Amino acid sequence: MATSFALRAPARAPKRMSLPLKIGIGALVVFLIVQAYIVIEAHPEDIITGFSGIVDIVRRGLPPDPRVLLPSLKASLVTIDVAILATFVPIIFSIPLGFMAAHNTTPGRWAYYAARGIIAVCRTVPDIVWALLFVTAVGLGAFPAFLGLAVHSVGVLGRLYAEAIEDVNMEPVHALQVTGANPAQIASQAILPAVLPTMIGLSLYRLDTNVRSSLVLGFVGGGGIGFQIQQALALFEYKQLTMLLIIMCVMIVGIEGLAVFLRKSIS
Amino acid sequence: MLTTLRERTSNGAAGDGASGDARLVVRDLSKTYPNGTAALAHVSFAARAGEVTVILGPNGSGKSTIVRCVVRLTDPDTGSITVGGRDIAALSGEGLRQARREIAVIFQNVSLVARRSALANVAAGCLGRKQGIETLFGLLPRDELSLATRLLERLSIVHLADQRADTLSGGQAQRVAVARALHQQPTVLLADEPVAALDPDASLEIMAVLQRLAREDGLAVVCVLHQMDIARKFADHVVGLRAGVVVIDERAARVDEKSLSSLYKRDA
Repeated sequence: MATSFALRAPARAPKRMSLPLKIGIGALVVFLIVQAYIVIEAHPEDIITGFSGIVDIVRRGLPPDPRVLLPSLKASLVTIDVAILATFVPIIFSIPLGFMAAHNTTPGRWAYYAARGIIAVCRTVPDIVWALLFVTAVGLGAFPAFLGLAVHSVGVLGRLYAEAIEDVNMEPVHALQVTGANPAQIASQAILPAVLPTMIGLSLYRLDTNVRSSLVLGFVGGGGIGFQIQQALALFEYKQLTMLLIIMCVMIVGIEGLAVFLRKSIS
Repeated sequence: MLTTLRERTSNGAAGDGASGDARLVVRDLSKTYPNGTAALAHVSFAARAGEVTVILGPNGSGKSTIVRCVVRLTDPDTGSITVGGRDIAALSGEGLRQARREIAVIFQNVSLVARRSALANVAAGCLGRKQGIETLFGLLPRDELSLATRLLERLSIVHLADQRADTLSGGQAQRVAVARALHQQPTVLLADEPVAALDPDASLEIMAVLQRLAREDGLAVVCVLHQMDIARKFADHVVGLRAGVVVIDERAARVDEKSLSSLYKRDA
């Protein structure tokens, strides 16, 4: 390979799908749905018979208890801060990983497989499992939640960045390459400006996802408002639970709105 | 007239342009793609300083493959590409990067960084000779920015200096690409179908610019074209390709209509 930026192989014309293949794929999809329905032991009638129980919990949860409002604000801040850190710290690692894992910018085969391997390990192990592993290392609290979420985010963002880089128009890249620019200059002056809006959009989407994940991690000792929700459930404090759920909804909708606003501003 | 160049270059000369002032000499260049397509077969030609060499040929004749091989965006299977006394086909790594500085390329499609200004795109032409860490952040010396501004002035588009590249028209964008190529301070300027996406007026303007650069700056301009009328108007030297083989390698004045037309005949 003479160039640092490998060329894509010419795309082949797409083949038309045959009728037996279409039928086969249709049958496979139906089979997957039916087997899933059987395996999870779905009984829709239980929703109807259990409806009175749901109504009872809702009744016991009203009106919401405002006394948890102030204490839960600090917990909410913890949840949001875990998400913010677990989004922005991984970006530092995901950008170089993305360049190494994209076939049009990877410096070599070894780098490609190493980056893809790291991304696969970080991404395929769920954030909750990473967090539990870190709990054994650093104890309970928001810190292991951040670590778990951050490691998972490195994998997710690394893969998304790599895909964005692979989709970049290579003409400006080749134009800089033939000026004699070095690979770092090409990456910073041709590729990064092209993918930056996409990368920021993906990072904001990840922040949005991480807020929800941070909340769930609170259930397993990660602190924040998730931990308070879990405590309220365990103590049958349904009025407090309702108040916490309202705070949670406002928080998530607020973060979503902010992320959407920023994404639109960038695009 | 349709004779292959292999016979004429069997003694090692690179066809019509093998004289002393040849800036780019391509000898016996062959390329077969992994899917079995033979894009180039023993192609030889030379491009002289101060002249416009036009490479003509139908689709799939290997014109763009020549350009890509010359700057090693595609690796040739065999042959040599000599620029400034160095065989680019035999170079790799830092040596190749240094050699590329001699050759600027203007691509068919817009090859500007869309979200950067026209001035920043032009100034990027100096990245081959400016390797400091500050260049990673788009910071370039004042003299390079002044040179970029002067080049925009020379091409009559200095009023677009601060405009984002993705807001320029096709002709304006191609002029910015020409300015970037000049900012590289090359000795050879390759243009791969530079007017394919332009209207007739803009096409003539760009070709006139390229011709002027050859005359005034002494560049060896190699231009891949489809349009025979434009080739007739601006070429000093014509290289005709069919199925990856050079079938014309003549001074433009000596190439007749029949030879040019034969290039595009299906059964020729």
